[in-house]
Amino acid sequence: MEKEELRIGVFVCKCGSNIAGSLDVEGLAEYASTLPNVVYAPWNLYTCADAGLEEIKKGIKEHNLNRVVVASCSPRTHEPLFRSVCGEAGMNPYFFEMVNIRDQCSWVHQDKAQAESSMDKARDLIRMGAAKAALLEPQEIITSEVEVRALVIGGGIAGLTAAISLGNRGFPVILLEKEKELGGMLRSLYRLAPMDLDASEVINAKIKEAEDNPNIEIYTGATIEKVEGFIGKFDITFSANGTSKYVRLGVVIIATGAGNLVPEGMYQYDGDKVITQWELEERFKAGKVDANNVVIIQCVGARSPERRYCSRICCAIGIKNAILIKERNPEAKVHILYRDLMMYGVENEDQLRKAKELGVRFVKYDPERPPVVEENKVTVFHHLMGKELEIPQEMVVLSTPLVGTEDGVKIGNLFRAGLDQNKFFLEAHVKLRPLDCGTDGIFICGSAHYPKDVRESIMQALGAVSRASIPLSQGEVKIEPIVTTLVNKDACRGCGLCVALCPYNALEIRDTDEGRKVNIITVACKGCGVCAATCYRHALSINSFTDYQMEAQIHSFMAA
Amino acid sequence: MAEKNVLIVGGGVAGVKAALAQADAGNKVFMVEDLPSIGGERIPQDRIISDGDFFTAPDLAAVKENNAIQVIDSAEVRSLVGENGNFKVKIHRRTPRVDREKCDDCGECIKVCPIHMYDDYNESLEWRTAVDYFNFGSGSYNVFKEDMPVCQRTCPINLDIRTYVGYIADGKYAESLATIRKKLPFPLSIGRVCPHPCEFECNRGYKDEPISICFLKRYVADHEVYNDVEPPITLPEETYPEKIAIIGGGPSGLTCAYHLALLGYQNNITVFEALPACGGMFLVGIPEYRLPKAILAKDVEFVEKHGVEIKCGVRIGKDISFDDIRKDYDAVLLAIGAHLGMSMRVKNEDAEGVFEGVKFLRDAALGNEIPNKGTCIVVGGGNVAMDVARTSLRVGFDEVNLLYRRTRKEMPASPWEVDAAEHEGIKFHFLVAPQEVVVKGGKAVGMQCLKMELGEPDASGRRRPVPIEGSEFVMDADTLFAAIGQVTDTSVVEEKHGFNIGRKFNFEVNPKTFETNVPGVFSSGDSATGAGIAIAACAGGKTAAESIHKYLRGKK
Amino acid sequence: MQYTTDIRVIRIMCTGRMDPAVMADAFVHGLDGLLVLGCLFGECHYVSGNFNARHKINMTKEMLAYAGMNPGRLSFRNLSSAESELFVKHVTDFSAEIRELGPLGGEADRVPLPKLREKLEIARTALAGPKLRWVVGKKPVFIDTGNKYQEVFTEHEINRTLGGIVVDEMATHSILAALQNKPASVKELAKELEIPAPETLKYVLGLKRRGFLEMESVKDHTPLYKYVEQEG
Ligand SMILES: Cc1cc2nc3c(=O)[nH]c(=O)nc-3n(C[C@H](O)[C@H](O)[C@H](O)COP(=O)(O)OP(=O)(O)OC[C@H]3O[C@@H](n4cnc5c(N)ncnc54)[C@H](O)[C@@H]3O)c2cc1C
Ligand SMILES: Cc1cc2nc3c(=O)[nH]c(=O)nc-3n(C[C@H](O)[C@H](O)[C@H](O)COP(=O)(O)OP(=O)(O)OC[C@H]3O[C@@H](n4cnc5c(N)ncnc54)[C@H](O)[C@@H]3O)c2cc1C
Ligand code: SF4
Ligand code: SF4
Ligand code: SF4
Ligand code: SF4
Repeated sequence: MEKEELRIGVFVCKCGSNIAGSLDVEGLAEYASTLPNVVYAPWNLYTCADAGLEEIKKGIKEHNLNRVVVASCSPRTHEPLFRSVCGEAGMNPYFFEMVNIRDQCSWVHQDKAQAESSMDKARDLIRMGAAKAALLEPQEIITSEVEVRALVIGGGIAGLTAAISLGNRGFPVILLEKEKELGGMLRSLYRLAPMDLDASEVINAKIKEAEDNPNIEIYTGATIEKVEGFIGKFDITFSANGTSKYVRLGVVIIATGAGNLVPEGMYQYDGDKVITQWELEERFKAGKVDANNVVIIQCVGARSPERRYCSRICCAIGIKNAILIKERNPEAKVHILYRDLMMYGVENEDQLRKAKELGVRFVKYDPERPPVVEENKVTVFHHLMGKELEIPQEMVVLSTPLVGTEDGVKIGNLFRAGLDQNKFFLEAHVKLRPLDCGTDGIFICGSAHYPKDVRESIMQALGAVSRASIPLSQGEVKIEPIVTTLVNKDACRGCGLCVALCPYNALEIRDTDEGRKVNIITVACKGCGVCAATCYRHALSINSFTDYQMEAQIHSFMAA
Repeated sequence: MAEKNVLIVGGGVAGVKAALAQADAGNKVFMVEDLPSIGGERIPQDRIISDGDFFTAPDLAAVKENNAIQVIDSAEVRSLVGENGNFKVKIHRRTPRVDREKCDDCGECIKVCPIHMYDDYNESLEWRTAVDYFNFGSGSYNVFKEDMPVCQRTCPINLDIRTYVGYIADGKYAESLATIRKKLPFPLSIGRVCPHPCEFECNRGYKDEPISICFLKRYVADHEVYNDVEPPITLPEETYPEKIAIIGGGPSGLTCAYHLALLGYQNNITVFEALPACGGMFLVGIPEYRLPKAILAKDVEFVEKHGVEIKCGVRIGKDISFDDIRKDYDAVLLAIGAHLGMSMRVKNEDAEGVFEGVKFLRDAALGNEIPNKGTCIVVGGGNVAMDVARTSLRVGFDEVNLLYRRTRKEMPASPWEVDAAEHEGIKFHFLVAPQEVVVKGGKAVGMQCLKMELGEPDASGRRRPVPIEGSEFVMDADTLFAAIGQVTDTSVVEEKHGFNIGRKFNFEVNPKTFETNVPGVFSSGDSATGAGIAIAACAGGKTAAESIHKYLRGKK
Repeated sequence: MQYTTDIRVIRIMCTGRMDPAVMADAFVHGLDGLLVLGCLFGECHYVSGNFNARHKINMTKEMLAYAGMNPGRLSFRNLSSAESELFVKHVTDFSAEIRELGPLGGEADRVPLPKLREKLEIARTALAGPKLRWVVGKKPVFIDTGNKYQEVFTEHEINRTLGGIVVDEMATHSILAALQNKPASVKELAKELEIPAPETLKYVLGLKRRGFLEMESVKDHTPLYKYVEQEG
């Protein structure tokens, strides 16, 4: 193929006075026109305004440009716009390069003393951009079809909510529950704080809604056996009630919940006179609570060296149950021994106030001197009174944290979804992508993520559904072609060095006719470049961020 | 002629010739070779001799092509039983690190293998990488390197030093301690008292000074204590019902108990200790200033927490008979140490005022009455003599004289101990041999000595001291200590039990298994090897635990 | 927010993209300082890219320092995208540090120009070569999950190994570079490269065995070696 003559156009933007205020934009444009392969270098007042965009299109047509550089602002905000304009003018959009002379130059070097050196810097940046542009390669947007069907794992309140919401949007859903019955944790709860609802009523209504929804296929007693594929095309094999089934799905929502810590060996726990909140709830349901002197101990097994986290919901649970005991028998003596109270928000705060009004006693204990449970009494050091307090008891209730489960670990491994050290699922980014897993197409909600109350579980489920609906409703995923490519297939030895380091599992080794070679799952790749920087055979490269392009930028800088 | 199976051990030139001859004779040949490839030292050279033009020895090619010969490389013969015409052999083959099915001689691995070593098959003329060991027969490579780094190899219990020191460098103290405790339950004590043979081998010593392997161990262990971290205890879920008696609660016995617990005998192990507390020579030999009792107690407690029952103040052979022990327990370990001082074999040795050094240390440690006034003489040049001398100074003697037959250079005591003793004011008298205890009124008042000079080297490589005629002199002293070695008091067992007693008054054992000639009875530590160093006693205890496990499981 | 005009920014998607050979190439071309700025550890937008970058940058620093450059010229610092003050601090500090060091090949560097450039070029080839890349690539795996035999290594152990490889690779690649110019004997190589002759011999023999060198001729009873062009 004959090498096309390079015709670079550089558009330098004034951004009103944002850039022109401290840089001589006309001078920069003139300078740009002297650079190698640059055939056209105008300046604009606002390149991103309609007139400016027209200029680019016109420039491409009239000057036969095959590379465009815009020297203006941040690619974070404007690159997609300029890129698509280049595409509209018939140029491959990936022949576009952006240079930031505003955020990284005019704005930050306004001192008069920097006038000269900031012009130097702007010239360098433009020259470096043009040098990189000369080496750009054309790319095509990558699209991949999405199988319009979702999988929801876990039939607790979060999973049910997610399945119903997806079903209501018209997407087919498969809901898998490992137990014989739907409902999760709520099946064994009594009343729900803070609104004092009947847990069974809440969950049974949800179960019915799910069962009545024609778009939801429910499997109980289900185990996932095999998972392959990636966003849009997950191939899942699961067994339910003795038969094995295979399905292809587009997205997955994980709602596998959490477990209850059994506080073996702590505070004389025996499941009889010393019980957990969970066991207390079951007794309430069975109407078997008659103790009148009750001591509730918070943070049992939580916020400790082995479980550093706060389980968030157990303070509310402890207070809810204290109120229930008090309401049943106002004469009952209820003590809550706590470290800190996590009663956040208006409703929870009201509950706390109510508990105090009803006469529940709160005693703060020091984790260095934890309460001691003995036959018929609990001794605790009261830090304000500075002395030991002896509280008579007929029943001790321990507030234990929700804990990650082995089931979660199994699901995590199958889907290559990360878990934290406490076996809770990890989001892709705490603030930017709090509902997504690191692996595309997988979303998390409910206590599987970390301890949550029912309201939060429902909120997160709805959020996850809205995230999951994006690929489902579009029917395809579009991926920026800034991904890795196997530029030298012969060089690849199929060693797997890159595979082990890819944070997105976007690489795998395949046996091919030419031997073992790496295979890139382009839809999963995010273009971080770790693989290319690692490959000892230099077989991989990142589109639009190749070694040569980066080196060209540096060489061009040094060539000043 | 009926086809026979022939085993050839060793795949060098002679082995190859023999294999071909046997195959020609119509036999099926198995050739076992320790290295990853046959042909002895020639193979790698074959590949380079003619610069790309492969030269292969015809015999080797013939072996490869002969279907009647099966080469078992990277393997060693472990045992051979039976007799002529009907042998059974047990061959142990190391796991090859390269999958031979997949390796196609591309050589890529050689480029990237990080371990660089001398090519011993080319007279160390060049460097090669660890994986660069070509197997002629299979056409694949294999990793060939030392199994253990020198330090680990030198350590009697083979602590994984590289890893635990590495973890310390990374600041991962808990992991470091866990690595040590995989083998050794006494990081606090051993970290203080081990004479660290490993450090003498450490390669870093060639550059500047060795890595402080021993004190690094003390450091991580102390770190745990000072931060009040409870040492984690993990015991296996699968347990065994057999009961095991361990006689002697010293380093060896306790290490054995620890490993038996880790093997699944927790709550079935009883340690019988004659003294009021456990620790053996850690407690009653090594003085407080080197190993504080409170520190030792932490190590002992760690072992105890593994489901090990410790019964102190019970002397087997006196409080309980050995017969009873045999009756009540499925296996027995004798780890009674060496607590009897050796005799100086000089006249009047039994006079009042002459003591065994080890007894003095024991009494000092247990708070019993001890001599402590005037001047004393310590005879001996080992670490025990240093401990006796330095302890004497501490308990109140005005002057301490130490007599040694050879010179300072030949002293077996650790140099830092000698330096410390000298620093503290102990007077050394080299090339002096005791001749006779001078007695007045039935009480020792001094030692008549003879001056020596060094002659030819003896069997131990040290120059033998020879007396100088007529050089006798008398050194005055109120108390005399003999610290010239300890032996085991084997009277725990009676003659009727039929134990073989060795040259050093030790229980004779199979050096690999530490089993005595009496089935089911094992012995380790000083009582099996003669007085040695603590880490070796621990190593013995660990091996004994493994042997006891095999013995008990084998009986099933 | 104002800061020095000393810096020029090159955009990469993630610090994980930083290729050791590209970093070395920058200094070969005379750059005075290279600052890699990325996310905070544990908050990488690409999960673990910055951990990989740290391993590679540390190795590159060690190699370049061994080649004679002041390692302060290459630096890896971290910040979140919301911390503009920290960005200013990092670039201001770094610019001041580089001004303190002066231009590349000056007093701050162990080896002066133009020798330094040659040595950096050798370091670049070594960093582009298989061995260092392989070991640094395996480092995170060996520390986390261990090798095929589940033997987990400490970071310290791997760093030590890498340290040894830096020395070996510098020697090997210096020899190869010298022989690419003209054939030479072991003695000449040893003198030119300031590597003790016995070690030079071992490197040469090892390279010969692996097919990088061959004997060219024998001059005064001394063999001369020449470089063999490599394919791929
Ligand atoms: C004692 C106690 C009292 C509480 N009180 C209150 C309260 O008063 N108010 C309040 O708002 N919240 C309360 N909560 C919290 C509430 O229970 C949780 O918020 C809620 O259960 C979270 O719902 P979930 O769907 O995420 O998980 P879960 O309810 O735990 O459901 C998860 C489901 O997933 C299934 N599953 C797990 N693994 C798999 C798998 N591999 N394949 C298929 N299915 C799987 C499980 O069987 C389960 O059915 C309480 C919790 C406890 C423990
Ligand atoms: C003074 C001195 C200093 C030393 N310094 C060091 C040093 O710094 N570093 C070093 O590495 N090594 C040192 N050693 C050597 C080290 O202490 C020994 O090698 C080690 O203690 C041997 O361990 P063991 O378990 O075999 O025997 P011991 O430690 O002797 O333990 C045997 C135990 O068995 C008990 N016992 C004996 N008979 C019976 C019975 N019949 N019934 C019940 N219990 C019985 C004993 O009371 C004793 O507690 C020193 C030795 C001495 C004497
Ligand atoms: S929610 Fe309250 S009781 Fe539960 S862990 Fe947090 S502080 Fe402790
Ligand atoms: S691309 Fe490179 S690192 Fe990945 S398998 Fe191929 S050779 Fe190995
Ligand atoms: S660029 Fe990053 S995400 Fe893409 S394959 Fe390589 S390592 Fe994985
Ligand atoms: S020589 Fe090494 S890299 Fe090549 S096939 Fe064999 S094992 Fe694999």
